[in-house]
Amino acid sequence: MLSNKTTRRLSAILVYLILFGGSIIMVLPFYWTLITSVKYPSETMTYPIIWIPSRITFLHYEKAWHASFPIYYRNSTIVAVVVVLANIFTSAMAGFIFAKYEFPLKGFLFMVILSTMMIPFAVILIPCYMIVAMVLKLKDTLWAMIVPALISPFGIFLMRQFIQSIPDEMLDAARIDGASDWRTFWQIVLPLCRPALSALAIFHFIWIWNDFLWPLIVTDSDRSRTLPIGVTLFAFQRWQQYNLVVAGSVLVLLPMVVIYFIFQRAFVQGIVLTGMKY
Amino acid sequence: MTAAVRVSAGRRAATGRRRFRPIVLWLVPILGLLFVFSVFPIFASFYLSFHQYEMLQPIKFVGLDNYVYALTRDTVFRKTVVNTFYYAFVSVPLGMAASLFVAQLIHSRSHFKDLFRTAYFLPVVTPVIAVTIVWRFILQPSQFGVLNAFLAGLGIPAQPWLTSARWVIPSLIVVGIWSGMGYNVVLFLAGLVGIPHEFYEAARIDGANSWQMFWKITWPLLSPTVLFITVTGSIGALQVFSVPYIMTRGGPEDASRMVVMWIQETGFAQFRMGYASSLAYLFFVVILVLTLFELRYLRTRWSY
Repeated sequence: MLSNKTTRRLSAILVYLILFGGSIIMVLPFYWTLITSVKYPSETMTYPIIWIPSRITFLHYEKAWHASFPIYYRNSTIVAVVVVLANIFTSAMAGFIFAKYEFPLKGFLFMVILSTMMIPFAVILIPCYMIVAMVLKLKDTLWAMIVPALISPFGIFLMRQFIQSIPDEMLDAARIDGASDWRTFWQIVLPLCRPALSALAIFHFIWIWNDFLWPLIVTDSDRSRTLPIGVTLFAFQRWQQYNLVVAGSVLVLLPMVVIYFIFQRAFVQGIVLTGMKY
Repeated sequence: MTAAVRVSAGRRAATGRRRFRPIVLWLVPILGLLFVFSVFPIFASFYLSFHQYEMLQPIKFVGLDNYVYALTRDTVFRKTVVNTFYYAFVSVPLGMAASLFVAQLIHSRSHFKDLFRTAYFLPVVTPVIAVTIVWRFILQPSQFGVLNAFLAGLGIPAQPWLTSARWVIPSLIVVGIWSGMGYNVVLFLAGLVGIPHEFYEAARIDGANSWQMFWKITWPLLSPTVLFITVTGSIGALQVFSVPYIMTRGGPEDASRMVVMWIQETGFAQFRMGYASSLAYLFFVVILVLTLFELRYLRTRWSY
């Protein structure tokens, strides 16, 4: 008969074993990726797998980098930065107006915004493509990825909910002191929204950085390809060159992982605050 | 005197909020963009779905032909619907069970909480393309695949994961759960923290075991989180695209082709844009009905 204390200790050990086992499953693919990207080909396709390579090389990174990666990086960065900044502004602005002003058709317009959130992207894919490619003639430019993403229904919805919780008295006080609507927005509303806006910015950044289907359709050449599309093509042409393809994938995931480790707390709070899926 | 002025100014400001102000005009460009890229396309796509439109030829009205063809003769579409349902209906409940299990374990102990959360969340922030490339190598059919090498260690022969019609969707499900689990873990952890300790203490005094406490306290009180994960998770899983597109390109022989891949293929590789629109609309109706069903069913079961 085990004593009560021993059972408790055993169950604690079991729980930690399961959790560490699970963590290893989560992290091992990353470790495999990292070592494969610096291994020599002779140590790559082996059985059993070599987990600790005897010597390492950065040649694969050099080769991958020279296959248009700087352009993909530039494109992805421009698109992500412009889209995120624009979204912070448009979401906060529209959220502020919907939360604090009265105007005709307000309820109806807000309903429309909410209902566009429910539409699967596949439904609007073809008309969006026709507008961007045939009407605006933006195909194969960075604008094709920027313009449709300048506003987000979810961002407007989130900011309206958040700004509604700011007491009217604060805004009225600013108005009495002679602040214009515009100044109230910049100097009172925006600073108060910082937690919601940083969550919005982080998630929008991840979403646009990883977006795949839309850039795949509207890009034709390296001039406008973003990282995910560039790397996919890179991989499709070279599945046999393991080390090179894996080095390419490290180049894609590196910025994201670095951002994650810097803003880890904000990530977790953001998920809980918004329940956002990206 | 000044007090009186201030009061009346305050009143004017308060009522001024009810009136139109120039700042509202900022909504015009914002809602304009929303209209062009979100509202108008919904109707345009509906219109296109009743037409034959192949980009170079003029658009032609064909009535319900696209829908009839999709439902009766397009065997690939039928296959993609079956595949997508298989993928979504297995990966959503399984992913939820796994993440609730992990969240419950992390919550029950006081050490390494941040470490575990970091480890389980890491795949969530990893770009899909990187996840897919790595898992393609892990699931390599030969003995050089990482998974097969492990299985060989256990004496199990190498399996052709991504090249066999039987194993390809289970493989995609594993990748989907691996990469999305951390998100649900974080949501469940937030839910678990919100349940007051007193409930468990009271139950313990009444002699409840941990199994009973889970089903009578934890599970019902987590129902908002479960509902949220079910609804958003299945909407997301039904629209799965990039992982199968990069990992298998729909193969072997359409065994892993998903609905959105087929819409993309008919629309942008075969340029049958009218037809692709009708497929998208059929798909939309399915998602909508399923979501309403989930909301109704799960909500009436739990009314806390």
